[in-house]
Amino acid sequence: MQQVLRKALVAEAVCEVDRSNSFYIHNPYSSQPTASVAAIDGSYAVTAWTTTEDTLSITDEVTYGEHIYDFERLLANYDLFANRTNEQAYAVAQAIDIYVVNNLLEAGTTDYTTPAGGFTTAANIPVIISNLCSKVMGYAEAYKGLFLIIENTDVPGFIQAQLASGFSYSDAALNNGFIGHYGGVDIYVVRTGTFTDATTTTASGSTTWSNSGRRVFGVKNVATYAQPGGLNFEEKGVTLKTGKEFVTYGYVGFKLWATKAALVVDILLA
Amino acid sequence: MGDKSGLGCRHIIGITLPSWGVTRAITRCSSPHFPPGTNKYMAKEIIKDKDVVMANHALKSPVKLAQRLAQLQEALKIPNLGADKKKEFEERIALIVKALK
Repeated sequence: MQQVLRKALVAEAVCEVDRSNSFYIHNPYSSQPTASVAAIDGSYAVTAWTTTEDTLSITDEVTYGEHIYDFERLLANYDLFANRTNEQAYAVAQAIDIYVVNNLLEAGTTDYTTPAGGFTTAANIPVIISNLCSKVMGYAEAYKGLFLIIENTDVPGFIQAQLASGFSYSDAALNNGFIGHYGGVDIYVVRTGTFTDATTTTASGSTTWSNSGRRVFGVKNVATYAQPGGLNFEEKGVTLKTGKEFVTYGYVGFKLWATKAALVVDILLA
Repeated sequence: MGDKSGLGCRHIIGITLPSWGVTRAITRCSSPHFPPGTNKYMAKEIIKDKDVVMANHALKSPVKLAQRLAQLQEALKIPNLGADKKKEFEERIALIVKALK
């Protein structure tokens, strides 16, 4: 059987993932010390310091259930259970991906507005990438690698910029098409409609985001999403129905850690 | 069975649940992290009403919304901003201002 048309999943490439069975992930931080430089005299000052709790909680569950009647299973030429469980697993994984990516954008505390035309104007690409990099460079964490998540509607400007860059980079783009790495930044493309406005719905769970017209850039692996137990599957007989009901589900929580929130940039497309 | 979670919530409808791994216990419990009735308010379809989204956003993260308001107001000053984007930003600003009131 054919698979449904699937979208790319990117969250795992840009965030850390915790699959332990913890309801909470505790990750406290203490206040930042600033060393004092003074003319040598053998003395020093003692400064008060504090610890602040920072936690990730599992707040949402992602589910999808179906029922396959026995006649459907028996009379099909294909393994319907194998096909539908595979599709269900993808659907749940995709919902988690959208949840994580939108919460990541929502949590970023640095902001940036693109020049008019956004990513669709080729001439803007080097300007945007350089400006974004300058937002996080100079921090030690920046060496973990940089990411930018765009929607497919932003791709034309990128490809035009890559094709017109000159020399080997342009040749590579001309020969191979879109290059997922530009100016030291890994570019991830998701489908249009990923960055949306949503509140307490089947898309956002208990969280709220208003990310329409926005994109996200940042340093990799400074945020964590937890998916305890990975994806789970249950199959059960149901009274008054032949066949089996089966459901795929997973739990999810997200946290951009407080001390690293400035390393994620909330991009407004102008 | 004692309260291993430390959250003071183990008893649901007179039943002591075996562990925090029980999903129902989490969604129905009286923990401050999952207030009773949390799921009751969760829409089963995407909420299209932008006023509702912004109002909830203003409740959950007013600082973030205020930051975005300032960013949008600044973006209106971009000299060659397209008419569509200008309209989009103005609508967005109006929504956020209304939500933050």
